Amino acid sequence: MAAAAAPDEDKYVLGKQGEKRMKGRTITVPVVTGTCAFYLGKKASEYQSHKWTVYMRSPSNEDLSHVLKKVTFGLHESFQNPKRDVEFPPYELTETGWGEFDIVVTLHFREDIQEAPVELYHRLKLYDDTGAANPKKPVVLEIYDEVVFWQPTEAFFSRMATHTARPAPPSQLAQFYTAFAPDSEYQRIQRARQRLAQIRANVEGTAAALEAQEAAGMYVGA
Amino acid sequence: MGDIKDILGVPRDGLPPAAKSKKSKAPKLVKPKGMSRQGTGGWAAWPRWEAFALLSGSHPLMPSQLMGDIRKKEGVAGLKEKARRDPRGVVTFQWRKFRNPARGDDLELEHWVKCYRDARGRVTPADAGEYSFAKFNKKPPIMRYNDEEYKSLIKKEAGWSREETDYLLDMAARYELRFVAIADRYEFPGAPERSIEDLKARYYSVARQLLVGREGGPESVANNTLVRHPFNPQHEQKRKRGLELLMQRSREQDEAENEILQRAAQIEAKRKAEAAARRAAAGPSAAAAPGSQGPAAPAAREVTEFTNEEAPGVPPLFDEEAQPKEPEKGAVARGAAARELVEAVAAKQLGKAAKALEGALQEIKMDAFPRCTTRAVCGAYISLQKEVIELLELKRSVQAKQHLLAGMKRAKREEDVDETPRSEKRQRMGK
Repeated sequence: MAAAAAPDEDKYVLGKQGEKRMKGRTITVPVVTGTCAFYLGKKASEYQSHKWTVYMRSPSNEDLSHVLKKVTFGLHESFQNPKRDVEFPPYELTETGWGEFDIVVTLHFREDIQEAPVELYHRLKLYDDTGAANPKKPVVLEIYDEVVFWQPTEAFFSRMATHTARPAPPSQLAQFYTAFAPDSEYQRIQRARQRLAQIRANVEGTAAALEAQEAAGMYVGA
Repeated sequence: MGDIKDILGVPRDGLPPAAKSKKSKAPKLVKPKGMSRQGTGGWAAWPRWEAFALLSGSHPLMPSQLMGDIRKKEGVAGLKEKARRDPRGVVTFQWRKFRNPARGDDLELEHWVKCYRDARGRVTPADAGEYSFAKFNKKPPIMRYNDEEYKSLIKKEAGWSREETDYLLDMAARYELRFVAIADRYEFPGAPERSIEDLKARYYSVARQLLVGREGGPESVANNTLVRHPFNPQHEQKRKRGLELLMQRSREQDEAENEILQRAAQIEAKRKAEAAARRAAAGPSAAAAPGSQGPAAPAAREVTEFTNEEAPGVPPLFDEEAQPKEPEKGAVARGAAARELVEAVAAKQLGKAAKALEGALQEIKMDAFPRCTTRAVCGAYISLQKEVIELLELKRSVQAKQHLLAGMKRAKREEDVDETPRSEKRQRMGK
């Protein structure tokens, strides 16, 4: 292979701090934010009706500490020290309360990633859709998202290239985790789009017929 | 002073008004029977009531309180202006004799004339000069020839003797080139029946020959209408015949013609629709799955695919058109960004369109944002939203066009039902 004059121009761009970044590359890290709320039943009081845990995990239960430095859970201001940091997995936080509110889950990345923290918003769900409250069955809400690193630093990129996935430290809530099926969801959407395309073809046929009628009508009326 | 007090109704010398009331009160006029405002003798009663109202003291005539003030400046000044003298004098009318120069004879008639009497006492008519209507007596210029010109310029035409040509020109002059009148009164002994076209042809050919002959050559008068557009009797005859045919055409013939035209239009429309369908089928879906669509159904477009693969150089996020877009920051949450985008697009829809979008998504059970926001899913959902919006717009435009056509058809149908003016004429002509 001939030595390119400046191979760096094709592969790298310079970031804001002059760091080397991988041009046109993306690293995707899927994450799940979740809440698991137990109704306290007999022990429930007016201000402490539920015991809930907010957490952040990988959908494949991988260990994410190679990406995350720490995770901050931002609670409602009625809580003492509403900003709670968790440095080591499992990234979980348990509290008791009575109200539903938005929890801000802030992901702080490792130094060599050189990116600002990303905030994810998760609504704490205490009550089931039916309204029933069973102390044994928790109300679980998990939201899937993907953190997308566009043009990551070279350090991060090369680290990821050599990284092998490790399972995350197990959590007590693992039994309540939900499963995600991105492929079937994709297929579902595509099927709907195909139906739409068929409907559209029919409508376009009608439109063409109307056009012809209109043109003919003008001829007759002249 | 006392009068003022009287007018205002203030008691004089402290006397109560009651004592004075009898005297000052106007004598009560007894209304004649049947004088009520409403429902009397109706129209007949009206003048009596209004006149009676004038008599009674209940509506005294009062000078306008405000008008005087408003027009004070204009009022007095206006009068003064009107009073300014016309420099010509005072207007007066006089009974005078006059002659009409447009007449051939010396007929003298009399009429009223508007005049001005000036300070010295002499009277001048408002419009001096000849009789004002004389200028409307316009006559078309008829060229006449003398014997020499006739011999040299005018070609001898079959059936037209010198005398007859002279007679024709006399008639033309007399009737001011109104050939309909000329043809009607044309009576030359020994001449065959002359139609309007014959007379016109002869007259115009004589006129052209004279014109060209006098000018010396056809070039200088090439622009003259006589030379440029020579009279064509055959054309005239055909034209008149055509008009007559049109006039005489019966209603049945009319309807038959319309029916044929309509059928022709329908065949045209069918042909066009087929062509359009063929074009749509042949174009974008050349690669569509072969067995899935029947031959009758219009072929659907292909649906674009998305993958989870992050190809180098391709940005990870999507814009409204489902095209790759770079994120604003180096690290973003894809699902959150896609959700925001979809919501923004939905918010841009206005009123009915917004509800239609919501309803349509609900119908295909795609109203909720997908749970698992991978790259493929995000791209597919954004495309779905875009396609729904486009389809709804297309449907709306088709509906609008349908309404338009229905309106046009209705209007045309009404037109045909009404009696056309032509048929009215036919009825008048007794057909």
